[in-house]
Amino acid sequence: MKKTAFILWVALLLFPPGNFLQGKVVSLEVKGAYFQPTEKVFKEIYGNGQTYGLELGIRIWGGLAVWASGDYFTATGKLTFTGEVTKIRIIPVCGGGKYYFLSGRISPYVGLGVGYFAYKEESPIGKVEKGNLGYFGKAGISFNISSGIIIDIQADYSHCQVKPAEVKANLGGLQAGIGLGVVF
Amino acid sequence: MKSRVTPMGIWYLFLSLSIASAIVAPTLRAEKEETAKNFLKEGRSGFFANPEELLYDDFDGRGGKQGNGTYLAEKGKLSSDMWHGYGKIVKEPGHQNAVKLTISGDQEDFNELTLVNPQVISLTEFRTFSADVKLPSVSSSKGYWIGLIYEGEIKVLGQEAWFPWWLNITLGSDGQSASINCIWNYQHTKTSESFYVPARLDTWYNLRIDIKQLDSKYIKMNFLLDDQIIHSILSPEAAVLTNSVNLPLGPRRSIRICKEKKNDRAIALVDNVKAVYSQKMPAKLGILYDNFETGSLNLELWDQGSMDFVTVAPPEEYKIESDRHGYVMKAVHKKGSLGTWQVDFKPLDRVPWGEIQRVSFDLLLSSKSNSDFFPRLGLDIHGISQYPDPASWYTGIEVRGEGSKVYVGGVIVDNQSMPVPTSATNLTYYRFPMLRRIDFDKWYNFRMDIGSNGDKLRLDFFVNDILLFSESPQDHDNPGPSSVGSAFAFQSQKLDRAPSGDMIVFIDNVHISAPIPLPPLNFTGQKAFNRSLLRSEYINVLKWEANPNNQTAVNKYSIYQIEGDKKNLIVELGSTIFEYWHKNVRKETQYTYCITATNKYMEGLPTYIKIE
Repeated sequence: MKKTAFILWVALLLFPPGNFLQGKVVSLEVKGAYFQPTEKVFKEIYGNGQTYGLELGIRIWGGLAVWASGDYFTATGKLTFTGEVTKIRIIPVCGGGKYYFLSGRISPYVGLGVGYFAYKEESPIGKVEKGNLGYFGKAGISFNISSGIIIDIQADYSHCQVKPAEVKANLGGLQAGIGLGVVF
Repeated sequence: MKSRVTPMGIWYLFLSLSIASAIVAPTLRAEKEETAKNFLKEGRSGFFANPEELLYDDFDGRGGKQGNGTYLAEKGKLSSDMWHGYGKIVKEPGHQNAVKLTISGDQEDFNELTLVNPQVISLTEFRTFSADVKLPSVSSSKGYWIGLIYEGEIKVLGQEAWFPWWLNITLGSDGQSASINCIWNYQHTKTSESFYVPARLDTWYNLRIDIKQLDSKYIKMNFLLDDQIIHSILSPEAAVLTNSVNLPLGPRRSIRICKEKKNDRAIALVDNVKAVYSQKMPAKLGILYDNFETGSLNLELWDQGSMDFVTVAPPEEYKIESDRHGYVMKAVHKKGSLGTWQVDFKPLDRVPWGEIQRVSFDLLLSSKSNSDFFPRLGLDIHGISQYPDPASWYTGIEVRGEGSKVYVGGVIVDNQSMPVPTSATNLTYYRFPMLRRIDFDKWYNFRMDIGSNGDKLRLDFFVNDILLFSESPQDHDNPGPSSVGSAFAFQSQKLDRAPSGDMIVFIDNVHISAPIPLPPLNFTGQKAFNRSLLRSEYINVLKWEANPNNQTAVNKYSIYQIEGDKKNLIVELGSTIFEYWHKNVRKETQYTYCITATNKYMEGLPTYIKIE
């Protein structure tokens, strides 16, 4: 919570909300991405995979925007020794700020965020179903291809260290994807 | 084409037939000699130290050579000087290699043909006495026998009394069938023992008595039989307590033919009469295993396993402790109490007779044992006979401690339910023949081989590979539901007063050759780490291999976890599975497992591993 407060404080300091709700300020996009876990054992067990999600963005002042997203990742893998089947589902629900460097048809941006990673894993060893906070960093380019339609190419980095039972694990990783959305 | 018979062709044909007959048609005589030679070599190898031939009458023509170099029989001829008596000795037509002994019809009872007996040869120097004999079915006698007789007088230790004793092995006939009987009789102890097995008419048998001096007090008599046809060996044994040094009279050795009635014609064929002596030769038991002194460690039952004790009828208190020399078994009896107890390596109750071949182990009886004990240690084999009434019996090897001395011998116990008198009475016949002195604190290998003569059992008991005695339970025609109750029994009892102290026994190298499933080989284990992304566990991975020495198919494997004194079954697996994961074990805990194989008869002995 301290980090979240710190980030919000920095965002408001840099981008005061004077230009809030000027012009087309709301974007909504669906996105798909290729997820590559950071942790080696994650890769070993589940490998890389696809994530799907929704992202909502709101321009609040100048190039500054806030965003919120929800992603869905599920994978089936094998236990490290026995090779038995294990399944995992991760649903990160995040929010944060973005800053668009340009306001034309091509708008590159960077962003930060914090999120709640809801996860569930089932294997012969046992079942885990919990949630933990994690952090996001993202960068991308938003293309206004026509009036009200955008294509958002983005890369995210997430980090969420958890230890619900015997072992620690990082649920985050790198993901690169594309989103198709509308702005209004 | 016109064929011609030439003189050269006839010569070649004759030569070919001669060579072929020489190669493919060995005579029965040659086979018999070869068999006898092998029997001597295999059965007694190492027994004689530079034996000298005392009497050797080989009717094949080689003649008999004495120790002084002279021949008792003229080469190629029969020497009638060798024999005296009332019978006749003639060559038997059709049996040119043998001599026919005939008792004329006007004689009855004993008529013997006795070997010339040099008195200079004492009992203790005598080593063997043997002959090939055959009873032809053409004999008209309805009751007669021929045998080797070995008899003499014994001066009992510490007494100026002489007692006759005799030993014989005979081939007898009732006119229909034949049988072989061994008898030894000691007048000074008023004991008589006998072994009796069926035989056949018109069959050559090698009858043989071997004599071995064990120490200054004991002389062992082996009665050996070699059936030239079936190659079986009967080896009952007797031990004679005597003072061999002061035995002035040499034993009388004879080949005796005896018939029971007048006007019968008894015919026996005799060949290869042989008597062998050697210089006095101590024949102390060798020490095959000396693990006690060399500090060899664990008592291992199988290739990798440890002892798996099964206790039966425990006493008031008993202990089985591990020691750096192996396992120590102690019997601790409370003061004033009597009792027996027994530890079985493995009960074999469900194994049929024919499936068990050998039981052996090494044993050391510690001199630290309390000498008041009267222990019984050894192999037990139990049976149930059906004739005349159901009765139980057992036989085995015993070790008896008597004060500061230890003896080993056989034990044969019959518990027969007798129909008369009217109230059924359980009678126990207990025999402990063939005593032999052994030492404290030395390892001895005890072995029991189980074979069969037709539908009868034949049990051969060995100590350090030396035949101690044989038992062919003649009275138990139908072993039927017989079973082996235990492979090893440990018993301690005191008859006249309450025992105290410990009896300490070391046991090693237990082997049971029976369809007890042998444990799997290469039973190994290691701790493995298994995880998902968010959960983890440790697994003890157990692996093994099938034991190719199992003669009977294994049906399943059972894995147990050993926790203290408890053996908890974890899983039973099919016979084609050779790996098991014991999941969710603790990382820092040492685990001990054992695995057994089970066949259609029983579960086998375990083999153990520890996983740190």
